[in-house]
Amino acid sequence: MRVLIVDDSQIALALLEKALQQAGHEVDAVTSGEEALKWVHKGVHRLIISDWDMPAPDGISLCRKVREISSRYVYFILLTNHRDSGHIVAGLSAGADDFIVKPFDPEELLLRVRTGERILSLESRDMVVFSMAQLTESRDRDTGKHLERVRKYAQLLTRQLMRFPEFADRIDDHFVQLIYETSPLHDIGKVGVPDAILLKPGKLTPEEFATMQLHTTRGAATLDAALERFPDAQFLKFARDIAAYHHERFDGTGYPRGLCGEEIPLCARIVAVADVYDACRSKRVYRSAMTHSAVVELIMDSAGTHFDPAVVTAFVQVANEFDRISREMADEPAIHFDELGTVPASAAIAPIMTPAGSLSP
Amino acid sequence: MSAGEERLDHSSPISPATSAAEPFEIAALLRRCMGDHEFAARLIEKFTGRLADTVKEIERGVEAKDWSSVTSRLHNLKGEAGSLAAVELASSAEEMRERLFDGHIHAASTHLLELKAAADRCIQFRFTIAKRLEQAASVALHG
Repeated sequence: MRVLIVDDSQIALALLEKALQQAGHEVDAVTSGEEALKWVHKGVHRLIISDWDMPAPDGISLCRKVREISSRYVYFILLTNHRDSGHIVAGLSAGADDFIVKPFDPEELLLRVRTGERILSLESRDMVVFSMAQLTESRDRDTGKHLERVRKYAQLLTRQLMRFPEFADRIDDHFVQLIYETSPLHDIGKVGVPDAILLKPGKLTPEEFATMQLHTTRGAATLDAALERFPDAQFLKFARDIAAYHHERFDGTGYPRGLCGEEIPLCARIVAVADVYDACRSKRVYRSAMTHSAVVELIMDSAGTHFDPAVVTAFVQVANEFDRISREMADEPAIHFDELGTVPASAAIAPIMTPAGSLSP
Repeated sequence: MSAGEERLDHSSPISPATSAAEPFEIAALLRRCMGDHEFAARLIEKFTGRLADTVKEIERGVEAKDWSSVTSRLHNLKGEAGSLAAVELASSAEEMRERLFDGHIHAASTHLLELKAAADRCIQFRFTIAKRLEQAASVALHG
């Protein structure tokens, strides 16, 4: 990471630079807040470490300026001799993310920088995942809040599974967080499915179904390409496994690879249940929505064939929560303006308006 | 300039207890320099090379009663000395600054003698620091 360090003491600057460079960071060092602001305008640093006590602008003023100027989030660490709560409140109020007390211990410094990197990567990750998921959603208007609900179901299921002794060593809070963040990407490969197939209201022909099935491998390939560039990005591996294998079946009759049982990554086994539950509860142009109890029955009947029996057990235990999420996040009835012909927009909206102009129930 | 010429003029004798201790905590210094003893030696050289001037500026500030300048210089001195594990000098600078903050001008002026003595010990140590750092690094490396 490229780090900007600011301190009017050459000695402190040299020590900071040494520790950061030794940890593999690229460092730009300046001795005043004024010089630092020139760098801030260039927007090349995501992490700044600045001394508090400097000739104006001091560290606090610099931090405030950074918050005003920067279009991206910049993680700001203040170096300080001030340990009292009054100063800490002042620093946090100015937008500082963390403090390091001088004289600093290099080990502590590097740990705090790593915390900053982690927070910055979370922000970038959320942004990327959200954008990619939105892209998928934009192709198929029928899916409504499907992605949002699936991530909630997947999170709920994973939390429940975490209580099972056999999953205790495989599922932790980080796993839950990853599944929440990456499950919306399960259908990312659908961006490559032609409209004629993706939006077809009737039953797909075998050829069309074969094309539709390719969304798993296409999604995985997209995420694999990203992984080549960022091999340490664990969330991408997670997202890839979900995209590739959420249509595998526990008995080995699924696609694309016909994996069975434990061969199917756990995250994909979880998302499979979440995805099917939501698809069944949602109305489609070619069929009506199923009731909660009907879907629960269907999923229970598929334990050991379609779904991992342990995941189904967890699902049954939290099924009422699934129903609640489904109701709370139900889709609004969709209006497809292009299906209304060339009528003016006001005329298209008119049928759902009351005479008083408010929305009808 | 010789070592003798760089020695600060101070009237308070150095007590045997303090003079026996090294003015820099070598292990802490090395840790802050990521174990690089040559880098540590360069920093000490740089710091001690201008330390006499820094102390003289503080002294002149005290004479001129320019307390704002004195407290600012003491703050910087405390920071740099602390960074380089010159504990005695750092705490001496801090004590003097605190006395000024509390309005104890006379006590602060008296404290200047202690500060000068601590600074002098740091300056004298620059001639042996490289060897001491090398020894300490070797011990750390080979046990």
